[in-house]
Amino acid sequence: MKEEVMKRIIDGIAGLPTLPTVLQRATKLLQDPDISAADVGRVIVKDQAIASKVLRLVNSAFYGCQRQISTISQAVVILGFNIVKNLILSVSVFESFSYDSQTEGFDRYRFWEHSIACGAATRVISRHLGVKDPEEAFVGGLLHDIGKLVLEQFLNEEFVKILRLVNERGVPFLVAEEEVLGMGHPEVGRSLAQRWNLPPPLEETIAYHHNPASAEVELKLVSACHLADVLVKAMGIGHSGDDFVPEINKRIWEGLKLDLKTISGWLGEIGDEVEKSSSFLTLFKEEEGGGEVAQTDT
Amino acid sequence: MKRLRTTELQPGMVVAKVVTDIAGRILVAEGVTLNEGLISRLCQRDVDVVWVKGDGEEGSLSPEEIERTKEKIQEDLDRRFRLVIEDPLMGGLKDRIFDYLVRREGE
Ligand SMILES: [Fe+2]
Ligand SMILES: [Fe+2]
Repeated sequence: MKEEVMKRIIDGIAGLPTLPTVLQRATKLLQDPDISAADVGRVIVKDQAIASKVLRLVNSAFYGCQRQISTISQAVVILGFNIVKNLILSVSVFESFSYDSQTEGFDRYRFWEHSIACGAATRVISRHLGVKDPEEAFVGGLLHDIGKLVLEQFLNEEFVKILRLVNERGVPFLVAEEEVLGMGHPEVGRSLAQRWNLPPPLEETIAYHHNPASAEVELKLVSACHLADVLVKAMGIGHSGDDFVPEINKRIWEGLKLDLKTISGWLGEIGDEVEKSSSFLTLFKEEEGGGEVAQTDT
Repeated sequence: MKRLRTTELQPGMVVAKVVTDIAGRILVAEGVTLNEGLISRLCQRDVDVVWVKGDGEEGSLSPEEIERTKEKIQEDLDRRFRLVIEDPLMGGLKDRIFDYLVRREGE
């Protein structure tokens, strides 16, 4: 059963486009210490769709820039290679999953709302935990539940069954997945991460966000995403298939010497960052919601 | 200036603070006079509250409104935490989240 499911997932994923070559080229460039911002800009501008979305995001409140950034090279100079690279990655993932779907009981807009909020919260918590790269942490949070979209796209019948179990029996999504498929979205997401050659910390975040103590490469990053998922669900932001708050993993709680007072102290900052990150939601379906509502009649 | 639930809006009221959707796009600008069409579109866009010009203490909710808001927050938290509420850590977290959401709602 499990082997058969895995085979269908792998076959499905094999049909997905690889992440755009522009990302691969940019990543390679960024590893070269002698590279200039203009070189990076030139590579990215070749993909206009991605470049314009990246520019829109760098000018959003999330990055808090005082002045308008109008070219990719400028973005690299002002915000740094790392932020721009992670933005290209985020935009590319949105593009890969921008298929039209109508699965009853699953609202993809609210799914991205959960994911984006989780990305913002993971970034805040990562800073507090001293994770090396908070920008990568944002992408980890953004992608943590990506396995669910793989299931929605390639095993839709089973996905619907899982949703039905969640609603009828009131069990968490992960429990329903195990029952229907013999595996859960973390494992499914991991296959995608491998196919896309995502960096190991991101692969681990996807694979272990429900079980962070198993992480080997970046325990703090995976723990940050695990906590972010708990807090975002507790605050009721977005919807990822069920609305149950998962239990905090006690091993990482004790290992990181956390307490409730510390967590409460982070909530305001998390709320603010989540609000700012909502500009990422505009990546989800441009045309949706456009300017049909009256702006002003003064 | 007073803060009203979208369901309490009436045609003719004047918007006192720009209304945006979750993605930050402007739905109604400051100074716009509301009509039936605008109000129903705000409802469709899941906008919860709107600031309108007029009497009422700055930003204050009536005691009944505060009570109702707290009850609603508590109800939602009970539902979301129902599978983990036996766990003392999660019970404690739920109380902290309650305080945070009430504070945020009051801002
Ligand atoms: Fe998950
Ligand atoms: Fe999640």
